[in-house]
Amino acid sequence: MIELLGVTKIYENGAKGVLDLSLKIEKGEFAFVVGASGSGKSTLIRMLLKELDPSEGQIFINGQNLGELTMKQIPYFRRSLGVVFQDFRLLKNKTVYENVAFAMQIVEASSREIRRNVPAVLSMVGLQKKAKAFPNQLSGGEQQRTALARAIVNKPALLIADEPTGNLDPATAWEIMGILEDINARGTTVVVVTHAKDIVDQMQKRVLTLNNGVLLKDIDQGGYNDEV
Amino acid sequence: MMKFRSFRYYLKEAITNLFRNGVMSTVSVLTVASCIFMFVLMFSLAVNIDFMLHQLSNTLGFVVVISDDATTAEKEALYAQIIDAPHVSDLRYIPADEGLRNFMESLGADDGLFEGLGLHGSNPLPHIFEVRVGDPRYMEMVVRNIVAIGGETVDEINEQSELVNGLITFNRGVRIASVAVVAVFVSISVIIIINTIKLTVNNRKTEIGIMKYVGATDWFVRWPFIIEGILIGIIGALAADIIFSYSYTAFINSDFRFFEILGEFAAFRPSSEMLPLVSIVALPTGVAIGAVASLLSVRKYLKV
Ligand SMILES: Nc1ncnc2c1ncn2[C@@H]1O[C@H](COP(=O)(O)OP(=O)(O)O)[C@@H](O)[C@H]1O
Ligand SMILES: [Mg+2]
Repeated sequence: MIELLGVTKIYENGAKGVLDLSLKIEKGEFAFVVGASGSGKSTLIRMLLKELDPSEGQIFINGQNLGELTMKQIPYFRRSLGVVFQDFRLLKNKTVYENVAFAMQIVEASSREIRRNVPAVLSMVGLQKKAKAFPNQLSGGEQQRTALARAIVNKPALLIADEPTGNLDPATAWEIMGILEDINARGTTVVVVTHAKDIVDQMQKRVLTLNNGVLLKDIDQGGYNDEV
Repeated sequence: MMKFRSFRYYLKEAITNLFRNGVMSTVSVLTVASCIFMFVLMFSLAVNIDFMLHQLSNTLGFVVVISDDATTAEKEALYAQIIDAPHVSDLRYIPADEGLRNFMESLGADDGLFEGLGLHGSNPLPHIFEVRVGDPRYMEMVVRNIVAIGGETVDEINEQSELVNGLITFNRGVRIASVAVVAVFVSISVIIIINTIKLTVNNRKTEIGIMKYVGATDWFVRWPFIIEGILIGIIGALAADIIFSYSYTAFINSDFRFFEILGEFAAFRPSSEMLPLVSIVALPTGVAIGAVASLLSVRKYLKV
């Protein structure tokens, strides 16, 4: 599903994002990416979304070499992914329902499909009652669940989350992780960047640890501080 | 191909944006309206001058005075040459006695006076050709041409074309001025709309970023803004059109003394003809101004 071959990202100002990173995440996996602040996690995620291009090396997603994507193809590539961020990134002038429907309008889904799929994902994330609410009327957890609903409504094969629980209290963070696990159980590959040590320890999934841009550890099933 | 369901979404977004930035939208609409109003004002002036010139060309011609020595054969040859000359729309030979009769009639005199004056047989008037020119702009040229082909047969040419020439010069001036005025005003409205839309785009910079993360194409992001610009253009054009329609009709129907004098020579283009013409010009201008401005304003915000 995801393959990195010797990927290095040096920013224009000389800052080192990631260094010679090679890794592989298989279809259907659930992987955490952990590491101290500044270790290169977001750099990795942004390259997976083709928001950044690596300075060196190659990235394949679903067999597609990202280096070969043209500007025009990027939107279509992104539609095959679901993305969730720490700051939710909802459209503030749209209701919960409209935010989720938006992802379907982009792909020119029919209004019938929209009317069918949007309520279905909203109930999957437990937001059917908040459909008409605007983001500023929601708690952080509800906003993130909206973002999750939007990320999965087009049934992406890969879901990428950069610190999805970073702004949430522990109880809410667990809810969100539960939903991510659900989504993974339905066949979607899930990559989650996180600092939530408790959650990582308890969920016993694959853990990739970055340190100063280098892949320090890659544990198949483990906790935050486990040794290889 | 844009799907109808997408179009509906774009239109809804555009209208929402218009209302959200109410003040700037209003300013933009007013600017477009005043620009287009100026434009159609110039346009209607030019159209009217053209219209009057054509009327004048039907009433005004010039007179070719034929030499007393000219033989019938020479007159006939000249007649044939003038009628074949370019831009001559009508040619009439008026022999001296017919001219005198016309003159007397125009004085309200009858044959009695005609004879009483003892003019019979000693007609002071020359034989003339009355020439009409299809397009008044060619008047000068036709005159020169007749001078050239007429030679000795032509005594003199009485041009009555000063008014026409004046109008032609004025019309040329109006055209140049309108191009300049229109260029200035169109630029002003484009700049103001660009700023309105930039405001929207700026307010929504994060949103545009989000849209692009979710996989929106540039055109998907762009269309609502373009439609917003076009809507501003259309509303402005309609406002200008309505204001112009009322003003023009009121102007035409007003009873300034000046109009009575002018009315002796030529009439303004009636509202029923002028207004559709102006609408046809105003609306596309509004649409174009709006579309260009919005395209310019979203161009650089799409790089995410
Ligand atoms: N846009 C940027 N320009 C320059 N340097 C950057 C930029 N983004 C991140 N960096 C640098 O790259 C390194 C990795 O950052 P990041 O990937 O954001 O780490 P993390 O997400 O793990 O906290 C840091 O040293 C950071 O300062
Ligand atoms: Mg980060």
